[in-house]
Amino acid sequence: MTTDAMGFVVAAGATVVVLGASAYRFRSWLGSFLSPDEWRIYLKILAIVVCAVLLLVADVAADASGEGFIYGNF
Amino acid sequence: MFGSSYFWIVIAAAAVVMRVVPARMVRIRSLFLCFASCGLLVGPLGLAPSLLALVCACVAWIVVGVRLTGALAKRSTALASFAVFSPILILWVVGKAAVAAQSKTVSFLYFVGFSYLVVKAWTFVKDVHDGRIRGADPTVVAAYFLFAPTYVSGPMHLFSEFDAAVRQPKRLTVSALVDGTFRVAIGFAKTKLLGPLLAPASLLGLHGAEVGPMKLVVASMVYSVVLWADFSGYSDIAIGSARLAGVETPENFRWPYAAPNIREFWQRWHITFSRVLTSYVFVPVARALQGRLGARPRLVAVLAYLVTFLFCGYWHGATLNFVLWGLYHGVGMIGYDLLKADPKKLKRLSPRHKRARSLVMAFCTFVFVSIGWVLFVLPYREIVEVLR
Repeated sequence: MTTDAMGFVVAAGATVVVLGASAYRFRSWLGSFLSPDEWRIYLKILAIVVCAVLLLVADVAADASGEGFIYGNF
Repeated sequence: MFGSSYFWIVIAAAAVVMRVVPARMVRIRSLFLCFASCGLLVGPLGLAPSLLALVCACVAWIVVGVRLTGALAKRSTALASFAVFSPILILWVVGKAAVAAQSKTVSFLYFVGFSYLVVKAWTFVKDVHDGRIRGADPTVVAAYFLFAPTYVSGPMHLFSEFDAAVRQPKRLTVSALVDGTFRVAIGFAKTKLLGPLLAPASLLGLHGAEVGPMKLVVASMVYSVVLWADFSGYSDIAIGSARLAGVETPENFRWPYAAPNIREFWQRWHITFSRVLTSYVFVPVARALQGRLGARPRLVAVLAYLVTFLFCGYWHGATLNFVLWGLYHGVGMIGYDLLKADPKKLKRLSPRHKRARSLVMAFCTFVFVSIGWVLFVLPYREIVEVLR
């Protein structure tokens, strides 16, 4: 695993943890805006966008460097 | 196949056709799925047209065969099922043997998706002869065997599940659309990001030089995660795309490495294959043995486990490695059955002790399964070199 990839994973993981913890802390306040079902849909849409961006970044980086951003398996 | 834009255009078209064509015209729906799947198998998947013709011939034989053997099935369902299934089984075994022996003449018979087709064929033929399937529509049968999202690596849905899904596809609401797309996105993230990210630190990154037993164990534990990410990610994409197309398929993984014992691991890992192994191999073998061995339930269970897991290993590959891997899990299941704790004693434990016990057991199961993957990946001689 390259240093870039390691940093990438740590940053992504930390972001998810901070966002998750914040959402849990303010769950009653967030609940006043949307129902749990609506939140579920919006969070899934957010996850789809995050996955798409990550895949795109990995794809572009793989094209730029011969070996690939993570493992060159794109 | 999932990376091709053609695949997603076809899925979008299927999503429309499955919801627009009325339920009484189920043949139109299944014919669409058949032709679309054939296009995907020959196009993005790269299956040779001659092999697709062989697959179609197998499907045609199954449809005709179950009708021809209807009378025989009234006397012996096993014999009738075997009469239909044996030509396909022979082709598959010959192909596997050719690949194992590195013979190029007939190794083409071991083509992509054939192992899954064999399992589907056996379950379908057995279900028809046992009376669990009645009056199956040939076009739905063909769509069942050819359905592109699940053709290569499952999930192995049973015909009754597929038939019900084609006849009554779920409505494509916003929630269903987001759910399906989410499943696909998570699947791609697992297979394209998580798996490849960890692969160099796993068994796949070992190149034989200076690998000690400890490094091998650690690499096998990382490989456990890589394999889960790859296979469950693939299943996620298959389930998500099939769901978008209107065909619900069963789940294939349920946090397998959280299993507190090897038996539960097999109830959470490759679930659709495990249930086939249980219902179509373990139970019939155990019943047959019971008739011969009488009231010796432990011996019956031991032999049935060994037969089931040896078949499981052989199904994955015809080399010694895979057979040993199957045997390893079979012995694991037998060991668990013999040594498992008394449920009455477990009830007496405090909740904290129960939780701690579950965690330790889950870790032990994870290590056991991880070590098993060594047989799955490394050549037999390389493992012997490491252990020497």
